[in-house]
Amino acid sequence: MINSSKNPLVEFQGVTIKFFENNKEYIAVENLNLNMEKGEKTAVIGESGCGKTVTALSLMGLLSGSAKITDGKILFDGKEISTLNSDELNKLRGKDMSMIFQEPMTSLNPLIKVGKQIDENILEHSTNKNKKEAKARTVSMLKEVGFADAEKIYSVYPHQLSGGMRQRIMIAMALINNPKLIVADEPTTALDATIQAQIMKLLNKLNHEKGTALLLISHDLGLVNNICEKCYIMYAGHIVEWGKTKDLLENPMHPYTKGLINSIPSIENKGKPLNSIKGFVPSVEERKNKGCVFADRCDYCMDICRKIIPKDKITEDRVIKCHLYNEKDK
Amino acid sequence: MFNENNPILKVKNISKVYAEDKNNIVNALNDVNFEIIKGEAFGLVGESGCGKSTLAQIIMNLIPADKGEILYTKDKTEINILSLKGKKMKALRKEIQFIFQDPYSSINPRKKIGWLIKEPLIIHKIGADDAQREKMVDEMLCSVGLDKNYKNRFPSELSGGQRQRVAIAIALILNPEFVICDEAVSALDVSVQAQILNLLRDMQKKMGLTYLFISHNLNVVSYISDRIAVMYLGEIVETGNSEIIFKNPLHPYTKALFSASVNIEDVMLKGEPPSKSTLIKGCVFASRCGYCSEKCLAEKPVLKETADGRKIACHLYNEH
Amino acid sequence: MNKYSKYFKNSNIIIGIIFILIIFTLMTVGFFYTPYEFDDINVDNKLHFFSAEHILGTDDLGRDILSRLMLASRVSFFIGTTVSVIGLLIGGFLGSLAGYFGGITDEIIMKLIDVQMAFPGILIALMMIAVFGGGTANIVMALSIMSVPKFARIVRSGFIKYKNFDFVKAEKARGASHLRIMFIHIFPNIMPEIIVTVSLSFASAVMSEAGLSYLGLGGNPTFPSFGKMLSEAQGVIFKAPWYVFIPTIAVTLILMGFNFIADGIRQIQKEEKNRI
Repeated sequence: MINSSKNPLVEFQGVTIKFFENNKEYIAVENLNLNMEKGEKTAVIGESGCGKTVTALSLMGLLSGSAKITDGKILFDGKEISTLNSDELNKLRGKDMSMIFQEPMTSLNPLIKVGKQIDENILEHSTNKNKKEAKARTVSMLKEVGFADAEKIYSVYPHQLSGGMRQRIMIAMALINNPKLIVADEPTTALDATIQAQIMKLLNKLNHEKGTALLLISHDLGLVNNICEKCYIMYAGHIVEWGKTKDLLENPMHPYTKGLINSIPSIENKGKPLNSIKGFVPSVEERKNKGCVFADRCDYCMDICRKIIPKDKITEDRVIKCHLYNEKDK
Repeated sequence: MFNENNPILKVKNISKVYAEDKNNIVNALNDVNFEIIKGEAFGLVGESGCGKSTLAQIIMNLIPADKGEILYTKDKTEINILSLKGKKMKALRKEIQFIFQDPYSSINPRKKIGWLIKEPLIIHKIGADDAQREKMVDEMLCSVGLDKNYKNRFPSELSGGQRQRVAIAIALILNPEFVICDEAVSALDVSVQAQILNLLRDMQKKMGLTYLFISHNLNVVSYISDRIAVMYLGEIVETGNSEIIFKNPLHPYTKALFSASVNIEDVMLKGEPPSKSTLIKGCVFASRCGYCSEKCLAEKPVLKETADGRKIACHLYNEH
Repeated sequence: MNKYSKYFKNSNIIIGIIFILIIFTLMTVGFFYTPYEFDDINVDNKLHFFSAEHILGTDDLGRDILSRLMLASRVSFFIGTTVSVIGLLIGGFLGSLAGYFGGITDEIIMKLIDVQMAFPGILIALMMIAVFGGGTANIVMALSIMSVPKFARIVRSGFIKYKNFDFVKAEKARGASHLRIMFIHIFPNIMPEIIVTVSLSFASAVMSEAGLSYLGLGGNPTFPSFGKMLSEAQGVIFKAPWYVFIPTIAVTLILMGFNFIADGIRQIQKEEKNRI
């Protein structure tokens, strides 16, 4: 069975995250189960507002004030994230797990040299406070992420660098303490296609060499297909289908996954209308908590879909949340 | 497929330089040439900052060009858009419409949808009376797939995809000939993007539109365009039939761009694009090109036609 | 839901409106009825404390304070309204030209406004009164000129922000005229900021008028105003300490009222921005 795991690094067990705003509550993520092996590359795919970023932030213990985990637990390397206090979390973040954000322009401090910012990460998490050693490690890491003139890059300010270079600095910063996990939230969306390829190639290489696990949050199926072994499809706060990436993209089973794949335009389907999904992604306020979240946009919608939330159907290599595949429901 | 001798728009030798300050000039566009044939969808591909949006605004005569002409064919006579002013320009604006990338900033948030769609008719004094205009608005809403009762809503009550439908309705209500789509689907989610692409294609067939489709997304451009031009740092490096180019890109930059979306391990590109204010003597792509030779650094390649009908600006293919 | 209903649910705005309504009601009633004539002198009954006959007592000439207060609020509202309207018209016009067209137009207009801002407002007012003499019209003129820069700046920055929005570019591409873009498209978008500025300039005009008439530079010397009442009350502060509170409270209610409204609108604006 695909959901049994031998060597788990990350486990989400029935996690529900809610937003509390103006005395109302909205469900951002519901009953989420996700697991990652050590050194594995896993993707969470979804459209905007589906809860994929909230999922990443909850793992990092970075949820904003109005969002709370109301049910289930998140385990990282055997430790339950929600039971840790902020000191313990800080120790974990930046050392054992680190995050790369979408916008490299705003995630660096504009007043500090980039090298110093990386040094800080080393000194923060190590007992050895030798600044020279830290600098040496930073410079070698800068080389590793592809800066030929690492010494020079060490002492420039963020505004002197292009978007792609800044994102590489972010990666260097994320990797400096040899973390077990990198969470990358749309790391290349703000970058150009050719730069995007360079960055993803780098992440891939580092995974091979250092065995760093990668949790990639993305909306780009093509990119994920290139990188990740395992892939979760998320819609309106639910994981609707997951499995091995290649297999899942070639043979999608959940109607949403099918629709998503058919929606991608390409030279092959030129001249033909795209099989798009009808309607639009419901906002958090509009979501119904009765029945399947995708029912309103689904071409195969049955009566039961509007009444009961489907259970996970677990097969040898796939998990699907859809009544179509649950024999009993038919 | 299309009559090559029936171009609707000719971009001729367009150059544009921005002066940031006295010592720092930016080459936004450098001697850009292409023709768009009536009834086709012409794709303009390039990464951010390559000058594609500047070019779109020059075509609309919203910003001046330093050099060159934009020739628009109307009633079989060619008019240079850049020389038009006042009333003549306003009359031509009916023919050329624009759809922007971000449906959140491209429609006025303080006006109701019905008002927004009707406004172009009022500006150009079309329709005998208000009742007739209202009817045209209703029809347009219907053809972009929105219900009539959306007329009384504000943009903030609509989703991104619905807003982009409104933007399309506003652009098409004047029954234009030529529509510039500047990253028109880039801000949308994949499933909604597909709906909007279908709508754009349907409207093209229904109204006989010509599109200039500007995007960085190769999937989208390959799907919708008949011919494409690939732009790098303000210059066109390759142009021709989109199927021929997509199946077999020749220019090293086109190759790199296309392989980046297929398999990241194939990318042989190095480095970052040079700063736009540096003056490049040779080929604009030379600093990142895997096949760069001394000739590339010294001499600028010109666009030349190859055997299969496309044009390339690269010394690799211009030997003879 | 009505687009504007959120404004009437904000507690700041509600409190502000109530404060202003108190004085506004006094003024409106004053047009039709006052308990006594405002200039009925009764020397036998001077500095009378609150009573059934004289609800707010009498001043040192035995005139009814409530009646005088009703008339004085008329002056404040008149000055506040005319000053904000004139300031908005002139400042809005200059600011929109400067913001929309930019370049040399912007340079010239903003330089002029900077020059004007370099002088303390009350000095200009004093200077104008010294040259042209007192009187309501001159005070209005002086205070209006003082309020122009605030409006010009706020409108200019709004225009600069919105003229780069795609919808403005789209309007140009569609052939809309400059006037249409400026006043039909951009102006409604900066309305909340303008209302905030109107409330604040109303409040500051009321304040300045009170200050000027306290100094004896106000309008019609026979007509009561908050500032004049205050200076009269000051003379008898040891004999009738309550008197000084009456005009003070009236001015405070107006000032706080408009400031509360401005705060409330800002609050709603901020919430809306956060949601996007």
